[in-house]
Amino acid sequence: MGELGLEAAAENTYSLRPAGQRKFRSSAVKECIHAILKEELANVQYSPEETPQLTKQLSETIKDRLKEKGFDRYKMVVQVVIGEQRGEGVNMAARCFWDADTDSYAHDVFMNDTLFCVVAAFGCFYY
Amino acid sequence: MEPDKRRTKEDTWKSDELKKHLRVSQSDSQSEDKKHKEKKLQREREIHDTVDYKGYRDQDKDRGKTKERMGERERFKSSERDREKLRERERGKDHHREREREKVKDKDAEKEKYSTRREKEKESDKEAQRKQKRDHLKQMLIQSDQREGREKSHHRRRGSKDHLEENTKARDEEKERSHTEKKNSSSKDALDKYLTYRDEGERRHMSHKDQELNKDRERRHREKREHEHSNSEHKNQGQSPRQDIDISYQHKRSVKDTGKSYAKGKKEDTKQEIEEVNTYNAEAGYNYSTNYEDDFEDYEDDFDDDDEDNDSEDRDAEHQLQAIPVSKKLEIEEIQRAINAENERIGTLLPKQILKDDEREPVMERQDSSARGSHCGMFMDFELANQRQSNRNTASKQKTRSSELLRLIDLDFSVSFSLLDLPPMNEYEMYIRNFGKRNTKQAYVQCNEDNLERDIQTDETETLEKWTQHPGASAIVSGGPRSNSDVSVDVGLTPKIDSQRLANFLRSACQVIAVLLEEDRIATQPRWNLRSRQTSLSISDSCFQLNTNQPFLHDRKVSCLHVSQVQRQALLSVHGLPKKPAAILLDRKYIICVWNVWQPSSPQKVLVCDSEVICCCFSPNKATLVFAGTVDGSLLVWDLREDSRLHHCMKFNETDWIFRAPTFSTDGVLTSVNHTCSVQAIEPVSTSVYKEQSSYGLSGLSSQEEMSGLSFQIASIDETGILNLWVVVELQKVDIAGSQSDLGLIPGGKVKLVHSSTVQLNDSLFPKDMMCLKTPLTLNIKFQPSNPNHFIVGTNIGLVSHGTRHDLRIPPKLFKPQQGGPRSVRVNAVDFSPFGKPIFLVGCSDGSIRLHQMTSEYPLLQWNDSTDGQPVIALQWALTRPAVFLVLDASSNVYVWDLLENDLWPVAKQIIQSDRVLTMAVLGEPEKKNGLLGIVLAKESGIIDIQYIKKKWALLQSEESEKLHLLLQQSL
Amino acid sequence: MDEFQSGEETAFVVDEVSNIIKEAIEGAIGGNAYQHSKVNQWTTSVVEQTLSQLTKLGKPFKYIVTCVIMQKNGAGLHTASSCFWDNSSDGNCTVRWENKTMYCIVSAFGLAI
Repeated sequence: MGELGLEAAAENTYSLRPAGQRKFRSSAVKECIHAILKEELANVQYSPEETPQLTKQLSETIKDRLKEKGFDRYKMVVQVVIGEQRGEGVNMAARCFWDADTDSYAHDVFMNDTLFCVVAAFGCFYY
Repeated sequence: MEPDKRRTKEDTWKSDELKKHLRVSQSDSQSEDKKHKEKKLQREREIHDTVDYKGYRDQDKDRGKTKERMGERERFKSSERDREKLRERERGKDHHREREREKVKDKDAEKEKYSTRREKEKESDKEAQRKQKRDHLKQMLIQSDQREGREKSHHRRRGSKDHLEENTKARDEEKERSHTEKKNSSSKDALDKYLTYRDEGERRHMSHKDQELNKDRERRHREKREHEHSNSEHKNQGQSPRQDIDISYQHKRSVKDTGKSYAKGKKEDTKQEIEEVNTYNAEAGYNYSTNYEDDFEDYEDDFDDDDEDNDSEDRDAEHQLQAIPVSKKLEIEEIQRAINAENERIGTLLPKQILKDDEREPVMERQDSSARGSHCGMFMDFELANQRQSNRNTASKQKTRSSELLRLIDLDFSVSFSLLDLPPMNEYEMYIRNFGKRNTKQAYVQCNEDNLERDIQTDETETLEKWTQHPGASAIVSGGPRSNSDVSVDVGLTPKIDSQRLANFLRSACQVIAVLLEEDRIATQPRWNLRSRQTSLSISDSCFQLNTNQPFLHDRKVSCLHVSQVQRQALLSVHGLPKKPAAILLDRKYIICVWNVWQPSSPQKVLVCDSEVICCCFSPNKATLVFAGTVDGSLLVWDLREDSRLHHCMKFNETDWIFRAPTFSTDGVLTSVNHTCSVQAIEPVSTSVYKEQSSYGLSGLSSQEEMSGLSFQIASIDETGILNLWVVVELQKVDIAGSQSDLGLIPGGKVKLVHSSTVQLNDSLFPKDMMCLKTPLTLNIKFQPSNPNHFIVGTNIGLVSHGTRHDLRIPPKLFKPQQGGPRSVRVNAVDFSPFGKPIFLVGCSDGSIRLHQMTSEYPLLQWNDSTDGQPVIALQWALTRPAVFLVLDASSNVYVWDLLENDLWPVAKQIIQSDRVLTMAVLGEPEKKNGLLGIVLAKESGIIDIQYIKKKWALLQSEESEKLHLLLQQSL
Repeated sequence: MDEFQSGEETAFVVDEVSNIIKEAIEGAIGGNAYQHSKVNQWTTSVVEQTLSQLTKLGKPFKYIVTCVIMQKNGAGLHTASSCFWDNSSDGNCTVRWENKTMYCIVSAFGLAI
């Protein structure tokens, strides 16, 4: 932890590492996502009316679940993509500009007969 | 007066002027009471203010209204436009402006009056000043234009240009008014501000004396301004529709900017003006002190702060500036310019309002100017200002934070993550993936796929079915329809033949037919009526000959004859080699002919063999097999049932003759058991009990016997006393390829001999004492018909030994002649009685004939001299009569014995001299009562003669057998 | 005007980011038709291009860029994102792009340091 004092009256303290606090561990997050996906999408068939709502709800749920996990000082972004499986080719990629020591991501893919679901969760440490 | 007025301006506001001012203002106000009602309170203040300025204004007007006003208007316009911050307006200013306008309006006419001298005097000055101020304003305008933007600049420029071009004051006034009306308070504020500026400036330019006054005024103004500002603000808020606010804001902004600049510039300008004014005033007689510059506050810092501050401070600045006393003219000119500029702007922006609120707005404006004073003319949006401030704060914080943090941490690009890569699947794969999982059902549609048409381009081949078979099962060996139309004809149509039965039937039928044909032929050819030929022999009634005049039988001597015991008409004749063998192979073979005496024209079958046949016999049950013993010691078997195709066929005189080779031959095959010397006799031994007069007609049984197995054995004896018993085996399956085990079997042969047993007769039959002399030769053998277990063997010592096959030896062992003891006499013939009695005849080579009984050693009867010492060649009981037997001796004499008639001598004797008889056989049919008893005589010439014995000797007599029996009993 | 200038240096300006993303997409897959062999390359390139342009803005942000390219097949696709951050300082921008054979959806998230 570095402590820097501004010239102003108040001193800003930045925590540069989440040591002691829970680090955004990719494996734990992935398990969490996986469990949620399994639970939510187990028997779900793709339907153009319901899936948009489901996608949103899923992203909310996962975000809330991650919040409960107690990653302090972490800003989290959860992106959920659900698509219908009709034999089309899909490719998804991501790249980040961050501090590799503190920030991390996790992703999981769920597939059943009619749909596929990709969830990517990114966690950025707020110093 | 004017200069005096001017001077006194600073002193100012003496009652006269005040009153005038008031009057004017009142008159002005009265005309617009309606509109001013709202602002009575303010008016009071304004009045109060205007009181201060009225005189000032009047003075100005007095001096030179029109031009001044023009100039002021212009100034006013431009200043208003430029300075957004100039909100606070002294009531007096507005009022003053309004009043000026009104005055301008009202007193246009008066201007002329007024402006006689003064105008003339001051016009030039004013104009000069105006020009200067215009130029200033223009400069300011230009500066503001650069800051604000196109439109406004355009407007302003237009405005300024227009105004420069226009000369009509009324128009200008109206425009100004309209513009100002439109512009509401902002412009007014600006103008007011400007005016206040001007006033202040002018005030400052006033004498020191008035400074305090001015300061007081300034204070008052300030207070009022603030108040008015607040009021104006309220008013603004109350009044302001959004548009106004926006516009006001814009204007404020622009005005602010311009105001700032203008304020700044104004300072300079005011300074300049002050200078000018000073100069002017100097000309006019005013004393301007430069000390008033000290009164200028430093507003630059304030300008950086909030708008309010700016505004207020600007206002303050303006106030202070305006404190400088400036000639009314200048003020008016500036005001006018400002008004013009502002109007221009307003005109372009809000054209409509111009039309509408023509009358109102100037009044309003005036009212505003009077009532609100300095704060009308600019909107202050505090919300946005707050927001902006907060944004700025956060941004600055963020900046500092980021700059700090970036020093500490290291941000870098991460690796590109691939989150999903789903390859495209073609439809079929998708289908297969979802097959059966969803609510899909396979449906199919038949598209008439079974409606096929097939066409063949190749030509149709014509086919014809033919068949062939080898060896052919029947006569037909090949077949098939001649043409396609006869396809229906096939093998199936040929009647299914039981070929076996057919063959048998044909055989028998053929024989019958052949006989019939023979008879027929004989009938037709009387020359060959052999039967009815009268015999030359005394003993016979008739005779006939077998036609041995066959091409292959030429020159062959018959060495042996045998008549079948079963088939009474079957006769075997053994023909030797021809004396002069021809080149044909056949001449080196011995021939056995099988005759059917009823068909004497030709032999039934011709058998050939390579070696000399000593003895032969038929099979006992049916004359289908011929057995022969050769001089080599081999036995030969001919199967007469064999297909003639198996054997050699030769053509003689256009007739096909089949020369049958032996079916089986023991020659060289069964050497271990075979005879090593010539076979003397061969006899069938029926294994079953002899059936007396076994019926010939039991064809079924016999055929069965033939088929299933043969119930007899063959006994062959050779000189050395070896008796071989052979089992005749009929094979079930004929192997046309020949047998690999039975080498003596002809390929395709069915019958073979299997050695059963060997009996050494010498050891068993003869006592040792006899053996010591020399081993007797066994010459013939006969089996007892009633008990084929017993047999007798003729030897060359005159003894006939008695043997048994299975049982123990029963005495007598030997049958000796009456003389007893062995004698060097060959037993040429022995023959059992065919009627079942256990008696047999023995014929010896010394001519003695013995009649033995099985049970006694010595003969019952013996005749020694019957043949005159000639050896007996053949001896055989008559088949039809039990008491008759026939004898042939070496001198070709045939004797007939009838024991019932004469038991000492033969009853008849036939001498045959011409053609010596070589051998003789007896034939007859005891079954039939016709009494045909015949003898077959084989003559030297090769002729085979068959003589029928006279009936008296042939016919069976009644109770002959008993009589014979008695006779024999007596002889014992 | 100073406030706005200072704000822009530390604020997530959606339009700016949107433009960057559009340029990146056009540059990478502008006139191409969907090819599975190349799509991997395309997504990576879009993401990298976007990210590099974003960082060139020089703002104190951490960026997350995701890109989805999907072949047009009549199938449906839905995206949603849920973020736990500081609303005043952080922001995101999503651009949807399509051509005859494929859809491309790029999301950029900016999180203030």
